[in-house]
Amino acid sequence: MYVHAVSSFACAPVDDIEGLKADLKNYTDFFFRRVNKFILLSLLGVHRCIHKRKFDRSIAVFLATENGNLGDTENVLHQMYRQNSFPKPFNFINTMSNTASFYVAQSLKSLGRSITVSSKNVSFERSLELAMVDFEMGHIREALVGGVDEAVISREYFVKKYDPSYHDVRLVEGSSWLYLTAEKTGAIGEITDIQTFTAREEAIQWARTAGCAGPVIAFGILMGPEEKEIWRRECPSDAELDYIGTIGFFDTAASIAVSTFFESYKHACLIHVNRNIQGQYVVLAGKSY
Amino acid sequence: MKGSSDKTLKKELKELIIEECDLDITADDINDDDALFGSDSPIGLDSVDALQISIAVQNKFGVVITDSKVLRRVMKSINTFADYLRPE
Repeated sequence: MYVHAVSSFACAPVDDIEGLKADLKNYTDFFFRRVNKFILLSLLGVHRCIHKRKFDRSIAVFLATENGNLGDTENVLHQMYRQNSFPKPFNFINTMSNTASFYVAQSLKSLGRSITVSSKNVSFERSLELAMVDFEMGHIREALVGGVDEAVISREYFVKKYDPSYHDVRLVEGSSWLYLTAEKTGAIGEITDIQTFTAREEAIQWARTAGCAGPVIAFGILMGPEEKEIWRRECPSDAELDYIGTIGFFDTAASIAVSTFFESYKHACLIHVNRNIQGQYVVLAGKSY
Repeated sequence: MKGSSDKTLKKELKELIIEECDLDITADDINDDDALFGSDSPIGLDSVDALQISIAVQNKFGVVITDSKVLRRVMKSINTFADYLRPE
């Protein structure tokens, strides 16, 4: 899978979506109605990535998200249980998991497949795996793969779900995308492989051989301080991409690690290590040209 | 006073429709007798918009419209809508 363009959008939590709408108008003339924050984030990330590029109408869309339409789900629950009212149709429709990828596909006039992927802490990696299989099987020639999540509202929830050592991390809205094709010509890099391991030793062994000597290494949110120390020791790297520390965190932030790598490093290898809640290691390898 | 004679009510209705249906226009862009739905309508609302408006009207004015035929008749224009909400 060759990377031809990337986008990495992250911003402080927003209540008013008008700013996102205005920003989106810089990238597309398409008029979006009945959209919520999650959909706007998805569209903004995609159109920043694909802006002024020619792409095939059969382009596939893989949208990874941990929480989906978080804000509208909250609205619907509030309308039903606090206001004892019917949920408003737009809010209700927008809680459906595939709504955002539908809007993305519609705005691109894509006739290809579109899917929303969610998979306990490694949603972005799983969506890339699906795309990889489709590329290898020849089902698709072009794809947009991205991670989109609204900032989690509760820091208490965040600390409970993730590593408490990240208690001071900035929680952001995020939408980060890769435009992938089967063609190497004109690419800025490639996603070389993604593997899942139960044992750390196996994961480290694989990472040592998957990347070039002295890769850029990046760690996902569930890699605690001790775990990172072991990896730094056992899998030496030339640089560490601390995207959570510098950009902030949203639940599919692994996507912004990958796009930031392609934006910032030339002629380098990336090893991104993440864990899911079962403790498995999901290691992604990439290479920039 | 009938609803269709009440400018304030009609402006309120227009603003409600614009907000609920996420339209990129102002209240002045909707004429009182303009068709709200269908291909002849300048703003071209659809059935999902109708449902959204009916829930909003229920919450704001306490008026429940459950019959779809009544809904279509009531939401024909701003004037018919206003008259339904305030017949006298």
